Amino acid sequence: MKIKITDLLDQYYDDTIKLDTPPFEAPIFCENTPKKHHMRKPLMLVASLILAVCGAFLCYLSIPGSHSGDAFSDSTGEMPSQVFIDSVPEVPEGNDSFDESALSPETESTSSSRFLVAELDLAVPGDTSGARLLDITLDMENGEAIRRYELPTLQEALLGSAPSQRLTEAMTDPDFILVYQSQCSLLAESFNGKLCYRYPDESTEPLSIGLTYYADGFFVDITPLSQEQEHPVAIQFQDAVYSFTPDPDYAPPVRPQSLVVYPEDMSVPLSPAQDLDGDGILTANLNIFYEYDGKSGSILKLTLDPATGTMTWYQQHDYAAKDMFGDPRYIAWANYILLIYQNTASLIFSDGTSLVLGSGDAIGYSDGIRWEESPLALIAADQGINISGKEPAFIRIGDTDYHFQ
Amino acid sequence: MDNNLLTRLRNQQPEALEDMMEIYHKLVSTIIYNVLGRSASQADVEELVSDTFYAVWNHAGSIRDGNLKAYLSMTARNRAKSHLRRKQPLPMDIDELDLPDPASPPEAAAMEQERNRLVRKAINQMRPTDREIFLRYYYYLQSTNEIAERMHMPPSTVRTRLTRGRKALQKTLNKEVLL
Repeated sequence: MKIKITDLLDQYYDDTIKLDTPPFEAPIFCENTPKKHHMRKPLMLVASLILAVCGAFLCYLSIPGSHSGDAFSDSTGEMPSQVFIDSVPEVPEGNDSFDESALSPETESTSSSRFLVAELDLAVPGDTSGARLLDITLDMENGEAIRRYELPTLQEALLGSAPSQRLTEAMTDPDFILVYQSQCSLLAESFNGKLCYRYPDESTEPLSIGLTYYADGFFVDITPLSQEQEHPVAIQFQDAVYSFTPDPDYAPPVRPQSLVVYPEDMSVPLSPAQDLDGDGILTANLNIFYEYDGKSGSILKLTLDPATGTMTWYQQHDYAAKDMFGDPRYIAWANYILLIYQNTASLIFSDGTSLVLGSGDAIGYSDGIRWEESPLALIAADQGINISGKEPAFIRIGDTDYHFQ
Repeated sequence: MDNNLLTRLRNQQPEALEDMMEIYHKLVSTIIYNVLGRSASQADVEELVSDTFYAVWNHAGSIRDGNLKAYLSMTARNRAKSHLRRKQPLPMDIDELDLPDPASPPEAAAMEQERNRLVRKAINQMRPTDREIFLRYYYYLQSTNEIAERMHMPPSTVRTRLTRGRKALQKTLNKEVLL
């Protein structure tokens, strides 16, 4: 079954994008007049609705058996014949149980402060190792939400504000990766859809937490504030409400550079001169056997598409792919395997320069073959290397050179 | 306040329609204007804004508490999308994903629900810039040149990041299906 991506998003609700305001002002309401009594089209709509309801009622009385919505629609003529939404989006749990009294008077007058902090100190639901969501700070000037959390293996870490060196060091520690990634995944999954902003008018806006793992670290994002919205006065997690308080001394975190530098264009062309078999793809047959944590497998080959710079690792393992799913340890473990090669595997170009190869940010399965792919351009950009137009010569892993086919 | 409004809409109180329009008119017209594009006429925007409020009025009974704003936003976007499609094929409609066929109607409903969850998950996991590009293109139906201009980047970068977004979405959907 094929489905258009545009249609796939019919049930999606977005309020994160800053949209252009229409250049024509108030197309329906008249300015500077009491709105309810000076609306043109709304009044027409209301009048037609009243007529429609009366018409439907008359139809109901006069047509035996026509007690359905069809009779209502037929009698109006102007009623839309089609509605495009079949269901409604999920809402955070506990929306209806909001306790207004939980908002203190001073929190409602904090909108002039740039930084508003809600201290949550929430344990991650279902987690026994001690990961906690500490607080959420709103930067009202930039419309950003900054989250601070605590993890068991990096107690002082502030994601996004951790020194890049500390993060880099930690990423080379497999134990850290195992715990950190599983905890981060758990954190994101646990809070998604259960957190929401609370506004002075009691309306709510769900927050979601996005988490992505990249070769050079984690990027965590939280729903930005809509510029259209009023300042929220609190954050609600299920039934608990956490009020925002202004913090004039708050220093916004500086994200490690490696987390925010992306290449401007991923399609960096490489020269295909080494493509000996002429299939357009450079293939290095590796067949490297590995063992780890009682499991074993082989990295079969690595391919490189010179046109897009996409690099794919192919692995054969000795266990069912299905068993690996749901266990974050294995995802972390696979990354660990590749991190081993991140330190020892290089792509050597014909001009003698080299690029250290890293792990991918995507994981997939197909017929027992595990594969991960990384856009080579991304890795190159992270290492400050411009590979545009360069000619790959061979892959070097440890002391062995693997030439392309 | 929204839930109170929703209750009055469900009871088909005409004043509730006025109130809804007063509160959400700007939001709805902004969404529609952005989907239709800068060359949108005021008449088209007005018409679709009215259609949107009308549709929500008619279906207030099926809107869950707390979802009025989301429902209005989605209806506005979908109305504007259909309006555009009636005029000409959308360039972004070329991009399709392969998904498994449901075996039965009950399964189709469950699959759709799960698919919507995965779509949200995939989009939430995109990098912020990638996500904005993806949503501007596929949700707000803006052209790559338009996005490039708004986000101050070359059109080729927009296209490349759209490719990455599509791949991420397909992978998320495929991965979970394999489970």
